[in-house]
Amino acid sequence: MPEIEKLEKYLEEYSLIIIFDDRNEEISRYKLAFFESKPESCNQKKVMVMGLKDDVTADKKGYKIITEQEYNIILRLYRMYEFTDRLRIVDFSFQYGSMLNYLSNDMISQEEYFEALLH
Amino acid sequence: MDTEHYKEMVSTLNELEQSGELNGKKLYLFGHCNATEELADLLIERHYNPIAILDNNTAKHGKNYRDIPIEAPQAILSDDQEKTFVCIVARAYAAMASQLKRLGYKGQVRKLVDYNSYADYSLSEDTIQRMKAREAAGEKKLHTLKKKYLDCLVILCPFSALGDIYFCMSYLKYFLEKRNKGKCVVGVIGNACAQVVSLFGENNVEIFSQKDMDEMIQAALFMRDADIFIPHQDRPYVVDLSRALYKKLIPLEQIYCCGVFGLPKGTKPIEPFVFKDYPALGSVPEGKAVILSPYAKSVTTLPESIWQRIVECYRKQGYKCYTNVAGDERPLEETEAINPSIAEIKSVVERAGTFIGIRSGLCDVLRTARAKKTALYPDYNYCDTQWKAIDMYALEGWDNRVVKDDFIWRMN
Repeated sequence: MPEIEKLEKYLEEYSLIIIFDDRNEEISRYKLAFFESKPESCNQKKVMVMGLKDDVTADKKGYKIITEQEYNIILRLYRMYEFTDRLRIVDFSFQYGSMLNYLSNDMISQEEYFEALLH
Repeated sequence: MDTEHYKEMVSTLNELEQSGELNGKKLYLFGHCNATEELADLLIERHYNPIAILDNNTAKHGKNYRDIPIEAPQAILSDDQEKTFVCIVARAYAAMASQLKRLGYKGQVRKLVDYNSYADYSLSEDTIQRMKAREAAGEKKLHTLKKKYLDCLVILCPFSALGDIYFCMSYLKYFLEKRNKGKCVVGVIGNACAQVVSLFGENNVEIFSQKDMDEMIQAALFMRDADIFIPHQDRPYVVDLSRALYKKLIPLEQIYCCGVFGLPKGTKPIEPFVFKDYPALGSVPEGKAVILSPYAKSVTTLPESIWQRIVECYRKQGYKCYTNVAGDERPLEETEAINPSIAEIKSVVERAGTFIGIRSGLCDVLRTARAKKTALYPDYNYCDTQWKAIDMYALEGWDNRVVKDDFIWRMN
């Protein structure tokens, strides 16, 4: 499947891939804030950020827009098994807790969240 | 390491020895943790001399375990790789093997225990098919469970640790209210964890093996079943809560309250209330005994000499000393073995008057016991963070003591 081959290539090339499920408004805001803030750790690794929307107005370096189909293929594999430790998917889940709960509880700042995501 | 995993480790080592794969090889271990220490002990017992324990945590570099230095993973590259063999018993085997490959390591890497059935760092068709079959097996098991417990929120606890179950149950009631769910079933691994669930009242509880639990959780993730919740701080791999610890100290209880369950800070935990009296309570001298708990599955053991000194101090004061044991654990010298159930141990500690234990989930079960309670913390970092165990799970109202190399037991 070509999408899987592409994914394998990205995983070889990048230290980290972060996908923001920006179909959700709140996640979309976090994605934009990520690009606005340009966390320090971004300079230390080769990071690719993916999203479905073409809405990043800050420096877009490292941003890739993917289609819903591509996202769904990646997500399907991600939920089937752990095929890498280089992928982070930022989305809300009913099934488990996430650092997004810390953000809503003001336990960590947005900056701390981004740095933790990049670790 | 629990008994099953230990047996698996021994069996895999036996296979490697029988096949001759270790002959003439220099052994490296990867990932310093309690399990790796147990592997090191086993190897030393069999007259191997591990060269180093590789670890990404720079705070550990320069330290050693039983004269085996802890070094950065890159250290192996300066050795003759054909003559080296890396043994891994840590959970992150797949990530470690992948890291070694990316570093350019060409020698052999072998996992001796399968701690993480979720992971296989490959996108080959074979791997995908195998993992799809695993997920399908999980779906069948989930279907059976859900059919038995209609209209229940299914809580799947991915790891067999008493403390994790304790924290889960402390906040589960509020979470069920938040989700407008009146009923739930709690899936756990092992009987001891089921007993912890039962401390919190009448709950539906089902016991599974680690393998079955992993498969069901994987199936739940794959199907995005909203009637299933997985309350844990870092399992399975999709849970990112522990990442925040790289930036900020968040004690484990707060991770459960706010991170896992999304409840407000300051939510008061529910206390367990279903306890029983130990049948032979009368044989424990009231107020003049001490219950010692030196064993814990996933915690670095403390030197026996420390426990010997504690026993000596209390015996001199006329105390009768007991060691809380389970399975084939041996009582400490000059102590009597005692084996109360999870529901009974509170009665034993309150009768004795004094409890001293390695910080483990059992201490959580005893949080509300009316006695002098001491928790001993081996001097280790929580996972690969900068935080110490005592930072993460110190107990309010207890005497919390960190055991460093120069530790001497003194009675308060």
